[in-house]
Order: sequence, then C-alpha cells, then structure tokens
Amino acid sequence: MNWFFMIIFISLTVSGRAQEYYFRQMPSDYGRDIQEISILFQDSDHMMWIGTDNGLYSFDGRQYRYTPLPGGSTQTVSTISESPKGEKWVGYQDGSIQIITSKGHSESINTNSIKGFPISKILFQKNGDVFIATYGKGLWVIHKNQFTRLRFQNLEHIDDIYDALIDRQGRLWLGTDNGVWIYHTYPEESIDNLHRKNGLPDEIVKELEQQSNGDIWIGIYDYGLVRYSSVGKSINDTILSKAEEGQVVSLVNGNGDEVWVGFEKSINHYSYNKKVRSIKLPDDLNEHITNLFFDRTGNLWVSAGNKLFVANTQLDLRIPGVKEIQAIAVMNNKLWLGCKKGLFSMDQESGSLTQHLNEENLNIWSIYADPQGCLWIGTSDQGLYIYDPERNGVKHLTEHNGISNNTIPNIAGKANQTWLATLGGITEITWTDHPVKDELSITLFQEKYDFPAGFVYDIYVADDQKVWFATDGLGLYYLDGQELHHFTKPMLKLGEDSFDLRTIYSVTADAQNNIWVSGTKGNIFKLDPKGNLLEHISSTVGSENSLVTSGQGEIVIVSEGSIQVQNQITGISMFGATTGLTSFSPNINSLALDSDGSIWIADTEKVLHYKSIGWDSSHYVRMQWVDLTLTSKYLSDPIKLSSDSNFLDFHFTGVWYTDPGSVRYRYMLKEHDEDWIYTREGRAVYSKLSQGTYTFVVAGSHNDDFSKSVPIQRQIIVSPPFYLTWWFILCSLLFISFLAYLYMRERIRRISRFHQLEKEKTTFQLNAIHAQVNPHFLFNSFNTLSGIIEEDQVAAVDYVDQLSSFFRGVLLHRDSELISLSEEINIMRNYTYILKKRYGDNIVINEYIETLEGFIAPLSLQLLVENAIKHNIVSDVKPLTITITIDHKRLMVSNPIQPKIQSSSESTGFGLSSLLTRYQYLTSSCIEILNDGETFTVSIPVLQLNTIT
Amino acid sequence: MPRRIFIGTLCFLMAFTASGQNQIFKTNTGFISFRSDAPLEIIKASSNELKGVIDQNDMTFLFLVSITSFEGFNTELQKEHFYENYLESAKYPKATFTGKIIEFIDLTKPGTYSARAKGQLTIHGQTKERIIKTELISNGNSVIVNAKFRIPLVDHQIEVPRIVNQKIAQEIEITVKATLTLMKKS
Repeated sequence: MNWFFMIIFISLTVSGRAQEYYFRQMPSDYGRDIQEISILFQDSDHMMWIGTDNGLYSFDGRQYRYTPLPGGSTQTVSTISESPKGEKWVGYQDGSIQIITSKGHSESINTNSIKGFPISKILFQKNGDVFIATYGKGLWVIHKNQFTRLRFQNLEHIDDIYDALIDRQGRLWLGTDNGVWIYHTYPEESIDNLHRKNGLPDEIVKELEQQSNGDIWIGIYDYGLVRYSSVGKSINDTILSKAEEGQVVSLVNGNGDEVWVGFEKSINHYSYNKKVRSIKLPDDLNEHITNLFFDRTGNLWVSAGNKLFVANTQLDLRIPGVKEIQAIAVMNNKLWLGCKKGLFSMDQESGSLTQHLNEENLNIWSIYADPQGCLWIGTSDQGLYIYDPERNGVKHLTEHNGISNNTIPNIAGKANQTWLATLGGITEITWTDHPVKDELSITLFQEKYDFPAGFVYDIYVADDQKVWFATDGLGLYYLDGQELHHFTKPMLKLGEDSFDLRTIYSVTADAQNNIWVSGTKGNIFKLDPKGNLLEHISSTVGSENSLVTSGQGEIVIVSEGSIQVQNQITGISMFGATTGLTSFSPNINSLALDSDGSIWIADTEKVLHYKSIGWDSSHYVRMQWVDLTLTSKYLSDPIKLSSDSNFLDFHFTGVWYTDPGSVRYRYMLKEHDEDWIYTREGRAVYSKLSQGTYTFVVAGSHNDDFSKSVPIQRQIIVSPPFYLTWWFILCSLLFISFLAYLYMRERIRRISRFHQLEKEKTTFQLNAIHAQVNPHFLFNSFNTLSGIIEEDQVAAVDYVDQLSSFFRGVLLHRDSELISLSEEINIMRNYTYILKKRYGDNIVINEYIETLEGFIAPLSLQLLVENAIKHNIVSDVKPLTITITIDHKRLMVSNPIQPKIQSSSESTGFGLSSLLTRYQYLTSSCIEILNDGETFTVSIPVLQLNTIT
Repeated sequence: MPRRIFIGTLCFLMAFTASGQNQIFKTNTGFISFRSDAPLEIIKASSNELKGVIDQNDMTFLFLVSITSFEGFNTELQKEHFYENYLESAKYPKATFTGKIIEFIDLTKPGTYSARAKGQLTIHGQTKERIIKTELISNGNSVIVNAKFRIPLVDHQIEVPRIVNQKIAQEIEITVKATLTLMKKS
C-alpha cells in the first residue's frame, strides 16, 4: 500500500528536547458539575468561551459565567463559531444551535431535521450562507433562511463530518471517514476528494486547520497530521504520532506559521522551519488532553477533562542541566552558557550539553559572540578568553597583555572591534580578520580618551553605531566614531523629581535612538538623544535591572522575579508569577539577543526565552460588559431611567489572560463624577441621579497605563421627575387657574350674598324699629299706662321702666346679627310684661326653658310672640296661651289658632317671611312652621357658637 | 449513541426477517479473546460464543458476546473478580459492537480486504465510538473477520482497585477471529 511507504519516506518524527512552558491551572469553580470541557473558543472581543458537557460558559480568566440555552436544557457543547455580525453560534451534541447576539441575547434556531446529531462545525460563507456540518446527518446549509441538506453528488452519502473549514478561495473542506472533501460553488458547483491516492496516510480525517499562509493541516485518526500546501497543491509534511501519544485531538495555529498539535497525551509545537518540539506537560495534566486553543495574546490553552491550563508561549524555559549560569550568548544554533565553573554549549534542537575549554575553574561573568564566530569570554579575575569553537582555538589575555582589568562584567562589539567593560575601565580590542589567529590591537580608554578608570557594568552597541558605556559613579559615556563623550549629568530632573544618574547598571537604545538606562534602586530612565529625561519607570520588583532591546524593538527589562516588556503601542507588559517567574533572580546583563530577535535570559540553572508576539494595539486589556442583559433596563441604548428608580449597577470585565489578576479599572460617570474612580472590582453602582444625560465610561489596564486602553461606554438618560415634566407643569397651571377661577367665582357670589344679607338686615332693622314704634303699640302702651297710673303709681313706674327697658333692648340689638338667648328672653319678658299689663289674664305665657346657651336672630322671639297676638283673638272669653320651649337645638313658639275675624290692618306684611330670609343666611337649619289647624307652631334653630357659619 | 444501537439492532432483526436480495453474513460461534499485560500478572480469557452479522447491502454490522461465556482464566478467583468486580456481568451481561463498515466491499467476491469498522462499542454499559481496523477474507460464501485492538479501561469506566493496579493493565488487547457464512434469503 502506497501510504505505508510514504510513512517511511516522508516523515518528521517528533524530536527535540522538551520545551517547557509554565502551565497555570485556571480556576475550576464553574458553579455547576462539569466533567469535560468539550470546546474552547475566543470571540473577536477576546472573551474565551468554554463549551462543556454541562452547557456554555464565558470566562474572563477569573470567573466563569454560565450562558443558559433558551429552553433551559443543558447539553454538551460541540462547536462554537462567530458570525461576521459578531454573533456567537453554539452547536450542541443534540443537534440544537443557539445564537448569542453581540448584545448578549440568546435564541435558538429550528434544527429539528438534525435533532439528535451532533453539530461538528458552523461556518459562515461570504455570501451570507451558513454551513452546518453534522456528525451523522451530513452537511446542511442555511440559505436565505432555508435550512436544507446539501445533496450535491457525493455529499449525499457523507453522513459523518468530523471537522470543516472554509479556505481562502471560499471552498468548503470537510474531514470525513473517506478523506477530505472539498466542495465549491464557484465557478461551478463541484466536489473534490483528497484521499490515500493523493498522499493521505489514512482516510479518517478528524481535524482541519488553515494556516495564515493558506496551507491546510489535516489531522488523521491513528496517524498524526499532514500539511496540504496551497501553493504546490500537494500533501507535504507528515508528522506521525507515536502510539503513546494517542490520537490527534486538536490542531491550532500559533504565532506566524507555527502550529500547535494536541495529541491525547502530548502537545507538540511545529514551526515552519520543520522543527517539531514536544512540550513538557504539567504533572496536574494527568488526563487525556481534549482541546488546545491559542488565544490572541499568545496564550496556549489546554483542556483535559474538566481542567483548564494556560501557558504564555512568549516565555519558555529550558533547563540545560548545568549550575550557576552567569552569562549567555547565542551562536550557531547553540546556547553558550558561562557558568561559575566553565563554559558549556547547549544545542537548541537536541538539548545536548557540551563542556568547552576544559577549564573547570573558569568563573565566567560575560560572553560575547563576534561576527567571525568567536566567543569572547570575560571572567572574574581570570582575564579574557577568545575562543573559536569551530577550530578549537583559544587565546587568553590578562592585565599582563595590556587589558585594563582581569575582571570583566561585560563585553560587546561590532565587526572587528570589541570593547571590554572591566572593573578597571574600558579596553578596546581590534583585529583584521580573525581574533584568535590575528595579532590584536589593544587600547585602553584611560590612555586614549583620558577616561577616568573605574567600574564599567555594561556596553551597548546601538543601531546608529554609537557605543554606550554604563559606569559606576560616572554616569553614561558614548563613543561616536573616534570621539568619546560624557552623556548624562549627575542629576536629572523630571517635573518636581530629580534623580541621581551616576551609577548605571545597564544601557540600551530603542528604534528612535532614545537611551534607556537602569540606575540604582530599581529606577529606569528613558532619555532622548540629547540627554533629556523623557520617562521614569520605578520598578517595584528588583533593585538592579538589566535592559535589552529585542529584535522587535521592545525594551525588555529583566529584574528579580519578573520580565517586563515595554513596547511603543501598549506600554509595559509584565511576566511574573503567572508565567512561573517565582524564584527568578538572574545575574545582571546575563542576556543574549538571538538572530530572530528573541531574547535569552540566563538564571543560575534555567534559561528563559522571550519571543515577542509582535505587540499591536489589540494586545491589551479588552473591556466588556457583563450580565447587563439580565435587567431589561440596560437593553436600550442609551439607557433610559425614570427619576424615581434610577439605580445603575454596571458589571464589566477586562480580559487579560496573561495575568488576569493584574487588571485594574477606572471609570467615570461623566456629568456626575469629577474624576476617575479606580478599582479592581468590575462593578460600579450609582443611584439617585438627578435628571440629565450621563455617559458611563470604563477602561481597563494591566499596567496602569489607561491611555492605551480602549474604553467602553454607555449613555444614560435620566428623565425628569414627573413634577418637572412639561405636561405636568402645564396641567398644574391649568388646574391652578381653574381653582383660582372657582375661588373668584365663589368670592364674587359670597360678596353679592353678603350685600344681599346686609340689605335684608337693614330692611329688617328698619322694619323692626318701624314695628316697635308703631303708633298702635305706643297707643296701647300709653293707654294701659294711663289706666295703671290712676290705680297704682308704683306699678306705673315699674311699667314705664319695663317699656323703656324693652326699647333699649330693641335699640341695642338691632344692629347685631345674633343675640344670646338670655338677652332675647329678657327683651321678650319686658315685652310680655307690657302685654300682661294690657291684657291681664287674657294672655298666658308658658316658658319651658332648658338652656340659655345659644344664639338666635335678635328680636325673633319677640317677633313671634307679637305675631301670635297680632293674628289671634285675645279676650276674656278666649284667652291666648303662648308656649315658648327652648332646648339646645331649637326655640319653639306655639299658640292655639283663634283667628281674628278681620285681620289687623296694621299688619306690616313683614313678620315671618323676613325672619325666614334672615335665617337662610345664618344657618343651614330652617325655620319650621307647623299648622295642624289647632295649633300654630314656629320653630327656629338655636345656634351654638361652633355651628355658626 | 442509542440511535446507532437501534439501527444495529434493527439490521440484526432484519437479517432474519427481511426478504429480497438481502445478503447477510452471520455466525454464532466466533472467537474473541482478551489479554491484559500487567507487570505482575497476565490475564487472558476467550469465548467461542461471539455472535456476529454483516449486512452486505449497507455494510452495517452487529457483534455481540455474553460476558459470562469467557473461559480460560488462570484461577477461579480471577474469573470471579472479572465477572463480578470489573465487568459487573449481572448488571451488564453483554458486550456489543454495532455500526457500519466505512469502505464498501463486495464480500461475495473472494478476496482479502482491509476495512474499518466504525461503530459503538458497549462494554460495562458504557458506549464509546470506535473505529476498528479489520481484515476481511472472503471465499464468496463465507468471510473470516480478523481484528486486534486495544481498549483503555477508562473509556468504559471499568474501575480497578488500586491494590490490583499492578495486576491489570490500563489497556486490554482484544482479538477477534470469526467466520461468518452467507445466508441467502429467498
């Protein structure tokens, strides 16, 4: 069988020393019972989505957030994709598909025809079609909202699809039991097959992954993987899995052309130079690997069972197997390690270690690899060795040969020039062709430039050919051509602060020719080419920092316990404990720049390798809202709030998987907060906002440089309280006007009534006086009086007194509206006394007085008694009995009806009707007149003070 | 996946009921053995009661063996442990493998074919999808099925007490050799 031979002929077996990454286990508190992570996915907002056997979660590096299915069921997630619109399409094991919109709503689509069959992939075609690959029901397409199975030619017979992708030409690749099927509709609908005859080692294709250059990796059951070249249109590299590694479970693209291959029991890294490296796995990863994922900030995610691990692939670790490494250089694909006990080389591929120079007691402080392929080895008190590993030639130089000092902390050079930084100044060495073979020309700076002798810690050859020297106590010098210049002033000022810059441990320069130096107490300074201080970084970690510029132009700051990388776009990124740098204390300047721009850092027994992901602005904390859809008020944009329930509770998160714990936020509610509020908690709460329009802005940062962060914001409109709305004010004005109108109307009515009452009263008073002084009454009174005078003078005097007392009462009370009962009774008694003198026993007045408290209209009682006499016969034969009854409520005057034959001509026509009118204005109770044919009764209300209106 | 078992069972039943040109290969006396190469002890046992059927029409198949039909253990105690502790034969009396052969092969034509049988392997009540490579040797009237594959115990939740870890390998090697004869239906 031809595939068998192919395995023999073209195969790259996994080789190379284990490359170690620091795998950090992610929290496992999902809040629900999870047995297995089935899929890992990162959306365009950098949020990681974790599909499990118990539903879907989003994960910001700190907390898992469960995303329920609309129906509430929990199913095994089998695939996650993102549509061009930013919707997450989630396929489940049972054939259901859930769509989560960019705003966080979720909905299901009707996939009843594939119910029970796992969704293996969801893909989006440029024309808007959605391909849905299933395991058991073939390929389906959603075209203009029609969900149909594709049955073109062989597609009809392909039921089980393991994986699918759309390549750059828009062709659909399907991994099946019968090789790869490539379906395309342009220029005409057709289908191709890649199988054993095309070079596939086997036909069960479980994984497909497209590389950035268009090549497609094909993962094959039981065999490993092959690469299909998009240029050569053929199967190229074959990577075979070993039996103990198990099946290919995952294939993911890394940086550039690299590919990460997950087998069940191993992870391998494949780069375009065809090197395959096996990655050492953490001990905790003792289950079968189920997934790999490479996120956008260089982190490799690995899931096994329900465990999740993350390794930052920018930093990897090699353990060469030698102790006390103090210096490092890289040359000929080898790492050269200068140790306390000699020189070693480690092959980067095989990891094999070789000792050189056969000198065990060589205490090496510095190594420099020159362009001729020679190593310059600086020692502690043992001088300089120049070593040509190819020809095995060695040259040893000491103070006797004219170098400035036998202790050499650093060496640097360019072309055929080398400078030694020694504890006794600087030595310059030049040669013609080969430093070991040729005669060397040795120059001391103190002699050539009058350079003050002293400790020199670092030498840096900048891109502009200037050579920089960092000294102890004398600041920074640079060599420009044949001239040496003193660069820094001892004290530098930045704003209010000033810094001592005499002692410099390390120096480097960036692409803009700005100089970066590390001083004492962990201070790092950025100076412009003229020596002005541009920036000061206070390192909180180590006190002595080593600086180096990577091939990507980043400043790499190496200190105790951390590596910080400063780049122009996102500022500083720190690799610390979360990348495994817990016991990390490298020697100063034990760094080496590799030809690919990566940096090697030696630390006693370890060698760390920093490889940039090529930082761009997306390599920063990404902000997003959390749980805002749980409350309906956040759904609208802008958020609209009423004045009485304007409680705002914003939940947000910043995604930074390299070090999730380092994320800080700053937020501000514009028009409300005067300044930024800084917090580590992803939450901001506001309440009782007054009316107006606000903007809530929040940004996140992992390095406190918020200017690099892209903030997210929401606008909030708080409506005015109802009593400040225009319609309410309008209604209120109308209502007040209406009330005012009513009041005015009532007042006008009252005034007119009052005038009427006044008029009535005046009429009454006039009539009363008129009545009381009517001649008939006077005539009768005087007539009676004349009769009494003759009989009894004393009684006559008394009579006159009574008469005058009666008139005084009338005069006194005629203006009053009310009179107390007792006064009215007095007046009435004066009056009846006069009557009794005239009528004698023909008139009987019976009084039943219960109380004297209360008021009535003045002269009303007198009027009623007068009325009774006026209208009835008073004679010997028919004496008149008038009964007066007074209780709390009413006063009643009654008399038997003995009508006069002829009504008195003196009747004034006023009497009862006048009384009725007056009482109408005084009280709501009425005057009652009862006439039952025998007795005539008038009842008037007695007013108590509290009932008077 | 219950569906597959269902289809498999359906085919099995159809083998006896369906009429027409259905060409079915069948056996009731297939050989199956397993072997566990553990550091301290080698356990092996076999059964001659493997039942199997392959439907030529759609290349579906079903194999079935009763757990208690295995014989040839080193000791009676070993057999007892195997039945009761590991495979819980009272609860899960049968092991089945049902599915479809990926390649289309006309088994009525004599020849030696290599094929991949993809289906649901159910042991100890746990179902796992497996692709098993087999060799099919046909003489036109009967087919000899040869297969050798390994099964990790964890896949079927067969738990071995730590104390006997050294006695039982984490992967068991299975060997199948069965001769299925053509049943022509009228």
